[in-house]
Amino acid sequence: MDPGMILRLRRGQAEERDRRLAEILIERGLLVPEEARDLRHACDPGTFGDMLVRMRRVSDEQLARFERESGVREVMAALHDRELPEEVREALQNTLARVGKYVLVKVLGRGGMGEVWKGWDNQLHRWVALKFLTGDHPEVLRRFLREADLASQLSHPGITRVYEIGVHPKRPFIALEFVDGKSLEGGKLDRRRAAEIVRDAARAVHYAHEKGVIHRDLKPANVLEARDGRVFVTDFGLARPASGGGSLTVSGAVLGTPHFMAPEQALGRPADARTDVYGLGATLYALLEGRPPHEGTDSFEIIQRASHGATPPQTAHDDLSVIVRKAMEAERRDRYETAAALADELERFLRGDPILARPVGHFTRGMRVVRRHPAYASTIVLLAAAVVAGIFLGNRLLRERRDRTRIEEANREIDAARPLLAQIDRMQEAGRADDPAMEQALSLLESRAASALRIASDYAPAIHLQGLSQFYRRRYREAEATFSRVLSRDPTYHDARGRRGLARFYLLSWVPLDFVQDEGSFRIRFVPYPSEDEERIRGAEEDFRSLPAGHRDREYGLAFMAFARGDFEAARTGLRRLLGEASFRAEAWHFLALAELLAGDPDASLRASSRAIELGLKDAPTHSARAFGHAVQGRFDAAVEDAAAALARNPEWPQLRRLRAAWLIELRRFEEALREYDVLLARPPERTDDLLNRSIAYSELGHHESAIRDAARAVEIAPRDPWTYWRLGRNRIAAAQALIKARKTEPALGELRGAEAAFDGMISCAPAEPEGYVQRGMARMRMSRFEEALADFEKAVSLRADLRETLRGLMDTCRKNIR
Amino acid sequence: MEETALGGQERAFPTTLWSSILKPGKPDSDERRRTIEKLFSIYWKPVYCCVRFGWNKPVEDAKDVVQDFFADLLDRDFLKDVDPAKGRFRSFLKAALRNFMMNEKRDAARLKRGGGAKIVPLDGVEHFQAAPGDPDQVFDAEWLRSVLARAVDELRSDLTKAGKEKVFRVFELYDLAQGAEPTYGSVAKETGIAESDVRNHLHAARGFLRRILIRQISEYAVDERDVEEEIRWILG
Repeated sequence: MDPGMILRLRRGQAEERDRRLAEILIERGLLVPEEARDLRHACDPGTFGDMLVRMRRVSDEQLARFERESGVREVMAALHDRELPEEVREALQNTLARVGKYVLVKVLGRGGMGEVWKGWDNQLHRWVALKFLTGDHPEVLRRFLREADLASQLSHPGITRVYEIGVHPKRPFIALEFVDGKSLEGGKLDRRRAAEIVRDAARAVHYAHEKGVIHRDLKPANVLEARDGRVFVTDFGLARPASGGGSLTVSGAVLGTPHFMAPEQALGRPADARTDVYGLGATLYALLEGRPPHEGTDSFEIIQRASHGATPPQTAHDDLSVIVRKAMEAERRDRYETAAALADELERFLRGDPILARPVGHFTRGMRVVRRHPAYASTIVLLAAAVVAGIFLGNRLLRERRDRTRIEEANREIDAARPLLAQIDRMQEAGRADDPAMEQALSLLESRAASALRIASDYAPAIHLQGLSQFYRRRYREAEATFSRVLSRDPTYHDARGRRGLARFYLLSWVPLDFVQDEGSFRIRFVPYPSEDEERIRGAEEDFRSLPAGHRDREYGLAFMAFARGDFEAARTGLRRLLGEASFRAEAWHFLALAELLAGDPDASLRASSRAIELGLKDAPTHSARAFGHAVQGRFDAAVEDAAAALARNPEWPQLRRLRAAWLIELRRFEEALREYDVLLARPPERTDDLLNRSIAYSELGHHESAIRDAARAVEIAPRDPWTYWRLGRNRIAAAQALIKARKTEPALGELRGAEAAFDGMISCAPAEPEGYVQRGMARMRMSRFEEALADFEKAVSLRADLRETLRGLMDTCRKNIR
Repeated sequence: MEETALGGQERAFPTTLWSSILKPGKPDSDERRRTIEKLFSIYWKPVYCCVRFGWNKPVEDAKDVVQDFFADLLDRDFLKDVDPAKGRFRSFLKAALRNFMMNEKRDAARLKRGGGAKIVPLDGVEHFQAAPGDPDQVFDAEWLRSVLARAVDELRSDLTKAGKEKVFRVFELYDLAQGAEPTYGSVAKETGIAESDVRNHLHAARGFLRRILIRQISEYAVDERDVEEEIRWILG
């Protein structure tokens, strides 16, 4: 090992470190693989992270966190290596066989929606079944995630548990309890074992029913038998809440496996608990007979058979075959009422007790047929009915096929938009909101959405795409309406609900803050949202609350709700946490800025609002929030800049303009203040505070006439307000002083008299306020009317004794001059 | 869902040589003594090189000093002085050695200490080579070298046992190259495999090496953080 060797060896390890970092960033959706590769090749080994920070793709803190994470991951993995099962150790050699903390070991099966892998959880050290979605049709993705969502609510020893829903941008997956055993697909069992298995499955299914979940696709492939004999029901892929929940699929009837399908499903009617009873019966049938109950040369034929509801023939004739037939009755009301009832019945059979179901004779069967088809009460007509049903079904299938083509085309447009969405997110995060490429991506997104809608105008994912394009454009009002349309078609469309909630909240565009100046210090006050906003807030809250736990928008929503309630602590804690993970939600940064401000951390607030602006949210509220952040710390120069930016975007915000003008006066930038007041006073109602403040600016600039005019106007508007007189008087004194300086004694005297009159007015409004006397006294002094002045000062002192000290000098001067 | 919601329960750090000797109770058990001896035997060489080349002792003297140093540590129940939270085993050893070398008691210790335990076979010590210099630097450099050499040895034997000599060969040609800088192409040519395989083999071997290093370090480290820090130090 010479130093050169060590150097090369370290270099090689640095390359690997960069690669691991890239993997984590890709996993987080912060980088796409091609880009990661290009960037990695563009820098020296070991400097990849630094480059990303320089490019502002990640922050320093993020980088540190990711590096730590990758380090800990490695260390833990290596340390536990030796205890790992052989298969896992082998799989570990292939870094591609990793998804998050899982090591992929082998494929267990491939289904319609994707692949199922046997995997190893490297953190919790246990086997898992990982179900990956292949292809990325949004419809399928949603069904997939919904399965996870529904199934994760179920916790029963007979149902495979959901450990984790992996919302991986490229490879969404579900981590499920791994069952060491096999599915019952294609198997034929002895009658007793078959009965035991279906009994256990029925108990588990009943539990799901109690939780409001219907499985809808029960078949041997979805029943697992573990080595130790335990039975698990799995794959809630078609499951649907028993109540509510709109149709997810345009062509409901073609979902599910036709071989085990209940007649009502084949006919596209809604499923209920008894549909699963049928599925359990069909499963039992298959386990006993070694073949599925409905067979045919193609699915059309199978569906046709299933819809007839004819119970298939059975080889044995015993109690068990009676149970199968009753579970598989064509009419739901003829089946076992619940899965539990079926389980109990199988239990009776296993114990050798008499079962409750009675064998059905030919007569009863005939009666049932009549009941089902009352119009055709003869066997001949029954045959015709079958043909009619067939034609009807045929038409239906044709229509569905047409729909399906349409949906597929729309999905192609939606799929094409997917990279755009990712690109927009990336650009936003990189603070490239002003990049022309952003505009391009947004336009493209709009046109994709438009063409998806042209193809299938009532297809929820297409409408959703349109909503997203509006959302990204920050046209929240339109987006809110669009997402509402999605939800009217499919109330379970969580993403649309989440976005609608956000859009609603973001529509509260004004900043619920008030800037209060008292005793020279500045405070920020929360102004609760007015009642006209309440409905919007309530709507947003409803949206957020009806999202499933763990949905990202729900988390944001709850933080926003805390803010709207005035719980800034909770809001900022929540938002800080969320924004640490995905930092590109500019609006959330904005509300974090407000929450920080109200919670008393103006520095954090400034950082948050700067981040929001960086991310392209350059609207008036964001700039105003930052202006407040500056102003509350006395940095008025920065505050007026941001306020100007806010006003440029929303000139109709008098309150902010007023504050800006006041800050300008603090900065002694009177010219600019003057311009702001000109704008404010250009439209009614004329406010006295604006007039008075403008008069200050005029006065300071030496435009005494204008200053006096404004103050006089204020007196006219508010003749009972002593302070308007005060300002008028002060302005006149200032004018007099200027005139004296210019040696224009006579006009100066006129102004002083005017000032005296103004203070007379003040005293008549507020006779108990010493200030009026003080000011009048000073005006009189300047006119050498010392006796009257002295009287005024004495009056003031009599009203407030502590003025004696302040006025002592003035009073002495008066006395001296009187003598 | 609970486990995942909590972010996964952290598994305990596996028992290491270090943590097993830190365990209270049975301070003089044979087992504990054996463990310590093993720990020392691993790091005998850096200590030796440090004494020999850092403190500039003649060969025979250096061997005695190292023997005494370890014997002294053992006899003194040195672990009482060690706060595992305060630092890495390497730092501790380095500091202890410095103290020992400066301590006048050393000469007296030579006569009566040792307890009969021979820490390592001393064969071949004469051939150990290191550049003279600051003792701490010599120690660290030697430590680094012995850790890496040990890891590479283990990598070689692991891969050979698994019938993956080729993987090691690629690693050797690329990451342990001396002289001219190799390329994927040159390694591919020399081993007669595709360039993409070179890349994959290299990636796999580096991963193995890292794992081996982590495991080896964990034998003397105190906890995961310690392992992480040490690995960062070793891999630069």
